[in-house]
Amino acid sequence: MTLSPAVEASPSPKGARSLVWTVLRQPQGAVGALMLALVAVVALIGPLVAPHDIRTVVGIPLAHPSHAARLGTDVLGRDVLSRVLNGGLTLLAVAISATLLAYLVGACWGMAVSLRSSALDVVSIGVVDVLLSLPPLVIGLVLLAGAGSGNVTIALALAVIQAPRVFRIVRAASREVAAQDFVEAATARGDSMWSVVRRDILANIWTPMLTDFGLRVTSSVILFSSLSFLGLGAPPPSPDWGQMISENQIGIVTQPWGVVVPVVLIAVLSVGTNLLTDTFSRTMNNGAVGGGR
Amino acid sequence: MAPEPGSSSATVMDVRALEVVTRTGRPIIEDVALTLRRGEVLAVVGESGSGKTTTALALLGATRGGARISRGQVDIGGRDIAALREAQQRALRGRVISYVPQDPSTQLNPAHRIGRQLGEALALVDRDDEASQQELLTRVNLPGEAAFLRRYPFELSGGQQQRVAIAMALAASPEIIVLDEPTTGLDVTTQQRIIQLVRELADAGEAGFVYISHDLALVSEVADRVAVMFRGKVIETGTVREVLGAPKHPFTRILAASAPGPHGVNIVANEVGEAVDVEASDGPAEAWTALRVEALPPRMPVADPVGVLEVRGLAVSYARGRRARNVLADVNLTIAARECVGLVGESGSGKSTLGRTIAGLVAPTAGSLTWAGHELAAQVRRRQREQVRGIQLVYQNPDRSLNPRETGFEAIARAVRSFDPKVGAAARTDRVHAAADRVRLPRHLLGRRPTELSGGEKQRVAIARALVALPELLICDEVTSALDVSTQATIIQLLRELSDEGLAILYITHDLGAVRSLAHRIAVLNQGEICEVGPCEDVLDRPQDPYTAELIASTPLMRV
Repeated sequence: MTLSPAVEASPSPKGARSLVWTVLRQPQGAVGALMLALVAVVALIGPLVAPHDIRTVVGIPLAHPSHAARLGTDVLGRDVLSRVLNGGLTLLAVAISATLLAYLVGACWGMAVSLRSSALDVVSIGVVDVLLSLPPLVIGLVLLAGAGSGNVTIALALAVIQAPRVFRIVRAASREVAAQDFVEAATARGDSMWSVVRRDILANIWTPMLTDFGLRVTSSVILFSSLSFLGLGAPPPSPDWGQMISENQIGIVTQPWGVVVPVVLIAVLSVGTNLLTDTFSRTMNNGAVGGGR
Repeated sequence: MAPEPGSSSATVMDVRALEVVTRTGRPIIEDVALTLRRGEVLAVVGESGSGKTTTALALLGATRGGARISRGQVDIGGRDIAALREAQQRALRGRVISYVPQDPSTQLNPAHRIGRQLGEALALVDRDDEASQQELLTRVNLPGEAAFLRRYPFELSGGQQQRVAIAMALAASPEIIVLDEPTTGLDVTTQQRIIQLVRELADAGEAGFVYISHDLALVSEVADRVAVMFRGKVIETGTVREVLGAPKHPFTRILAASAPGPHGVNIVANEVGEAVDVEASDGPAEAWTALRVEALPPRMPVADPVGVLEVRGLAVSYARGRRARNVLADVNLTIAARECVGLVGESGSGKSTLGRTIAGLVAPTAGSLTWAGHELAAQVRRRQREQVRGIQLVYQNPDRSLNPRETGFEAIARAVRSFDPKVGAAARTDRVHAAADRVRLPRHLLGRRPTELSGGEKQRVAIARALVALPELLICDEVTSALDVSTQATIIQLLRELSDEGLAILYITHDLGAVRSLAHRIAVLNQGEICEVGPCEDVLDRPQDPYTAELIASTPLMRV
């Protein structure tokens, strides 16, 4: 028996490639990708090309840009450019790994609850509501005060803050899908929970999830920066953009670059992530890929 | 049948050469011409995708999703609504022409009481007081009480909601009311009362009605004149008698013939007698002159029935304690091997619940299920694999029962893997193809996702997914109710073939015409209790129970 061509073609790899292509062809998607790439290049390549050591004092504090320090010096006389180039990697790594961890916990929990017992659902919602009623910075503050500062602790704290939010989004989205007959049919047939989650639930909710992921990374970046700004970030002298804003704000009138450059980079990262994930989810919803009519 | 409209009645709407195009300029409807007089009901009939709803909205000067009115006039109250600006169109809507959408639950705001919603409609003519609201309710045969005005939409039945929606449309005494499939989704007795209401309102000269429907039999009961739409064009117009009695266009003939009546289903067949899915056939309309319409003969009870499924004293109730609501009470039913049993009743009678209980998706509060001599566990998870495989359920709406992200092939292959995890990829493909062939789903459609398939094709995928488990009993829960009439007939034909091949079927439906052409025996369910069981012909032609008789009387007939 021969396969018809439509069945023979395995849709996934080709579909994924053409999805990326479709997204990048849209102006919004292209701009978002470009902005993200810019920040990624700064964060990844930056440490290799930084002209000075992050600790070395290269001039008087809050000096204007000069030949030795292209973006001037910070409040302690260190090179702003070098600190900017070194400050991105930690921020990105912490924000992304925290969000991934939050998704791992929150999404699994949300989907499990939407498919299984109502008792667990009621308890989970109660717990999550309590967690959500606490201001995120307070949670971060308490956790970091208790466990001591450090990048791993910050990532964990951010995950604790984000996980209940992820849970709410994923639970709401997957409940809608779980109520459909095809989920009941699969469960009645005796398909494993993992198979139902993967093929029925995840396949139908990953567009809103992707958009939310983008927003969450952004908010993790901002939270991390805020914690650093409050002095709860990684201990000095290791630089990160949030900490730089905090340190250099006193000199903002005389030497603005120590604040402006990290602020702009964080903004570019946030806007770029949102533009890109939005374009992704819109494209997938329109069925522009994977054979819409 | 209403009297022929007198020539004295004034024309309230005149549509000429109306064309609506998509954003890309492709016409959705072309050259549509309609006229409507006061006190008249004009039915616009056609299958899904024929442009009925686009036409209905265009009468209000509205379009959907980037489409626009590109040509033609819609003269209403002496003005061409299509040529007016949005603000001027809005001034006409409600006052001169109003619209009742298909699903009243989406039109009524769930957060507001009925009185407030009627008040908003009445505010158009500055009559927003409680007395006017009550008067409006009595006009649609609802209790004009203050208590009723204080209810919320969810406290009303579907029929009552539709009456409220019609009352809102009547509020500003418009000349034209457009009803878009107003009874789709309501059960037959409720439907009967709604069309009576429309007829009464028209006869009282309240307005002219445009009645959009896919149901020719229903239309023959309510309308004065009929316009048949096909692929964006009006192919035939005339009085009900002219169009349905002597249809000129081959499509009208097919539509008229495939409408199920209580005397059974007709199928549209080609020269060699194969059922043809009109919805899916892409040929030119002229090709259909070659098609024939064949009646499916009724079936005799199976000889030597051997009970395969026995339902004894089954009771189901939702919620517990004082708020318990009995859905099924003391249901006894036997389905024999190779037998097709039709289970009929109104919505809310518990017929779907019975099907789902047998499938193990609803836990009964009392009673027992026996399958091939062994007791069946209440929950499908507790049943043996062999039992789960043996009883398969096909759902009403394929849009909900098929995963939008899975192709037909993937959906069916998944079911193969569920029941036969060890089967190899090649053998699995063979079984998927065999199942597709069995439901006559062309193999090249297997690579498509549900959104790229027609309603009938989707339902075939869903049936194939159930059949690939090789069940002994197939439970079909209203499997044709979401489909066009011509497609319904082909699905019924398919089920009948499967039944002839020896599959036992429990066919759950509210459609008495379909059940006559398919079932050996019929069980009638009334408010959770079986009031009558017997051979198909006996129950439908000589009903013993008054409820059965009422159900049969409410089914729209093609009256020509």
